[in-house]
Amino acid sequence: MGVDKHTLNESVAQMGPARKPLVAILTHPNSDAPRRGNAAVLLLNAGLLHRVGPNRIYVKLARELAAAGFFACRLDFSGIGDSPAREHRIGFEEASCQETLEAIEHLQQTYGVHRFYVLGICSGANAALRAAIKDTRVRGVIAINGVFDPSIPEPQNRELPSHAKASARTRMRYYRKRLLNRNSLWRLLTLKSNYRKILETLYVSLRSRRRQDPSPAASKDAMEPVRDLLQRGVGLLVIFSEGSSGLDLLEATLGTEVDLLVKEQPNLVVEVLEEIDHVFTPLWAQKLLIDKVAHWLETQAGRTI
Amino acid sequence: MEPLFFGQSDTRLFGVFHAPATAPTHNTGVILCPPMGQEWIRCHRAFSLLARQFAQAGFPVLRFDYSSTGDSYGDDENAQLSEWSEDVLTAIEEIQGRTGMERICLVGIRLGGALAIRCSIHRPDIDLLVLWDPVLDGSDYVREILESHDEWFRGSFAQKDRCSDPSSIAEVLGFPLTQNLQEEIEAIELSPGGDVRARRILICWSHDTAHAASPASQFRGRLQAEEIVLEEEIHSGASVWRKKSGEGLNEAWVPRTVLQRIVSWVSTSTR
Repeated sequence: MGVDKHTLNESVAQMGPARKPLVAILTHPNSDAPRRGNAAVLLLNAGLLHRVGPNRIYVKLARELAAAGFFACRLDFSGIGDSPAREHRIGFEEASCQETLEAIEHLQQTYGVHRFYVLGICSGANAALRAAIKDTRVRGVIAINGVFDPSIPEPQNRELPSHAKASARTRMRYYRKRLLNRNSLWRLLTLKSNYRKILETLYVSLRSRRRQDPSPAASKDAMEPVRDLLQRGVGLLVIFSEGSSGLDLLEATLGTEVDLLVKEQPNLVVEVLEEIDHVFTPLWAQKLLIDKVAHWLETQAGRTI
Repeated sequence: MEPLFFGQSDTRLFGVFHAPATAPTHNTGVILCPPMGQEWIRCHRAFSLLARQFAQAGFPVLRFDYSSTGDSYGDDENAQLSEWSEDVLTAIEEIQGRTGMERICLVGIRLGGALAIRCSIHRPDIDLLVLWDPVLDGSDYVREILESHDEWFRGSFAQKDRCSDPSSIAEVLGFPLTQNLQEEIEAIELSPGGDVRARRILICWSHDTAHAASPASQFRGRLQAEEIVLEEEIHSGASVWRKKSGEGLNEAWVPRTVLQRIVSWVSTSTR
């Protein structure tokens, strides 16, 4: 997976206003890599983690993509990593979308890039999708473990019932899976499990059943921009790891609509990767993710839209 | 604040230089030596804030990523402790070249503390050391992080490994731990403490068990024998590198009182 350090070309970019720039690391395509028609991949912050990504996965991915001929840009949103905080009158969702477009503009003006792919994990996935909806220069989105809930304007708030319900569902899936595991069952029976956590999960799960899931009409409306994006020909790769509560949230709120779209739109791919946590901790999981993303991007680069 | 690559052209390190907000009066540059692996990821925000606070107090600061970590050159699998020691010296050269500061203060968290101690041996220009839960016994540290790795997987969907190849690299919470790196870390044994040239040292402990443990006692004893001024403080719960229960990606924990204390101590020590 490693890139020869002698061909690696990385530079620091500071984009936007001089007093409050967005800091990014650019990994330039290797000179002997296949040409990709001046395409760049932007990798957006996962939560509050800075631009290296969870477990430095964005660094590994950026270098892999540069070896394949892509320009890679690992960006810090304002107030995250090394980018100074800005005073926004808008929420994080809108600000992160705007800043992604700021980075796209900078790359186009400075390096002549004209095809963009945007990738994000967790909140970064949401930002990636929003940017693609707003800007036709984005030709593809890789949304990993995004948190998609159409019923509220700021889905990052984990205290909301929809998130508590999704988290409880994730834990219930985990416990059901572990009951089939001999070691876990033994721990449960021999007083070695975290009983408090188990009881909390059961309580939240039972209490959150009273919450109404979005109506089919609300879900359909929420998916309209995504449907338009796909009809525009933009490629969309949605990846969930089995351990992500984003998967449960999506199934609860938009599951039916997503199933319909997958059947209708060949440029939408949804994958669930088993036995992997939200941030791809095992090294084998990181490699799997990097290979999947690199392969998908290479096929996307060959498409004309 | 200036993000930059520095060092040799084919082995460039990434760092962020913070110029002092006021005219410097201390003749001391500050270098922040981070921990490794997942601990480093979790410390990033705290380190960034610490650097800004030092700059506000009139110190030039360089925080950086060791080779094969962060944004620096190199793959995770090539990480070597010996190279990290050299990286600290490279960072010292960089800040001295930029600022002309003769004296250096190294601030090291966890393994960064061990590297700070190691680099301060035989270097009279390393005047001050701030060590935050420093690793003083490498074997203990390796045992601790491997146990935390196993513990984490017990509550996770993730399958630890899918490779039955015995020669595959061990890993700790998302990062490889090669045999070479493990052996280098296990060889850390700083209880002798001899030849440390720093004039003053501050050790911040996040819990009193580490403070009372044998490696710390031996290290303390030896420093006192060398007549190095040593101050120690316990800041309970200030282990910013440890995952807290229920924490998500959208939360970052920054122990502001510890950061303020570190800056205050260094300011006082350089007068």
